[in-house]
Amino acid sequence: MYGGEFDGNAAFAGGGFMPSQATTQAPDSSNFKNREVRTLLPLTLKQLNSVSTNGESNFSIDGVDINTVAIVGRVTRMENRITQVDFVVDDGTGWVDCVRWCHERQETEEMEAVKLGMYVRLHGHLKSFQGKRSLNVFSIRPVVDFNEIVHHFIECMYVHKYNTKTRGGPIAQAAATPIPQMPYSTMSTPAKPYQTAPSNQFPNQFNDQMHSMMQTVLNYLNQPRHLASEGGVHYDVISRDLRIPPLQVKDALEMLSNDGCVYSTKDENCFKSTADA
Amino acid sequence: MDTSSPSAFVNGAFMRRYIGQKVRTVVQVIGSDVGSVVGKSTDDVQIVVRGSPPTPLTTYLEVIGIAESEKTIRAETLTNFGNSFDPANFNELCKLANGEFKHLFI
Repeated sequence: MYGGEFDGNAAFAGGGFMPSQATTQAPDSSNFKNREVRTLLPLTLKQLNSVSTNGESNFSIDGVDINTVAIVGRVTRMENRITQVDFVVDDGTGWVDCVRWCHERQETEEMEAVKLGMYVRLHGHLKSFQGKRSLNVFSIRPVVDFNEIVHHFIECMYVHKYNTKTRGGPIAQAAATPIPQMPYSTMSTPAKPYQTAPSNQFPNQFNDQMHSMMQTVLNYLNQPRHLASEGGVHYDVISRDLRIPPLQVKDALEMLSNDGCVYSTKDENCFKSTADA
Repeated sequence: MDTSSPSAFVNGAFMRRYIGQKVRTVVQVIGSDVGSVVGKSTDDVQIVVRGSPPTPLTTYLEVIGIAESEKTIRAETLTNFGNSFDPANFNELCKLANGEFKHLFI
């Protein structure tokens, strides 16, 4: 379930390489835009209200195209019109008109489980008609574990932070997510736990120090000028710029390389981040 | 679509920022009376909620209403949040929703 809903899709917006597109003029970007990009974004209704649009049906937020949105809120109004149900969902940051078309039994049954005043999770498409925005809902279910509400908002914050940070350069770590997150900007699917277990499970005494050093070196290599440079950066240069002893930089680079975050270019001393790949 | 009357996520500490405004919080129920509930916020502040709670009450109760003072809420909506709610998570959410990510909420 996590894999299906997770905004990793949204964050990467269809390819594994979108995050770096804003920082470079990669010729690949046109290929990705031609493919149909499907995103699922968890949003607060406040965010939904502030999406930018170019034309009636092209919405985007934080630079990511919007296809499907996930909303968690409470149903404050409901009108059943047999083939469609019009209702209003309020998530505390705003409210939105929703429509659920019920042509098939399964759809009707799904809507029957939803009652006025209930917290629900819904997925739908954002529609705009004569300036009025509404949601065309195609999936809805009642919330039974209320931790889901907290989780949804935290997820909204995470996705927002991810989408806005990747635009600027270094990937920052997620704020408060209960799920252990990959510390680096790798291309592995977020649904699976981080693949290379040995290198990720640092012995406890090294964990914080080495981990933050690797993050520092990676952030350095993720800067736009280094992402753009063909030959990469020699570890002496990194060491001098970051004022970290060269041997520690070398160790950090080796571990980052094992994790697939950097690779060596001209020789085994020059490195480049894989974020631009 | 409308965002003109949002309710701010608060714990005990943030209540004072929103006096007179609509807030939402989750409290752990300590006691209930006719017309009011006494609860403990997720940061251990005692909050009095004026309103009629649902019966039966679960351990956690979500309150949406107007903050009358630092420790009182006049409730508009009360929802049972069950017995397995994680208050620490909610507490962190309050901090983030009032801090770095305030623009996503209010």
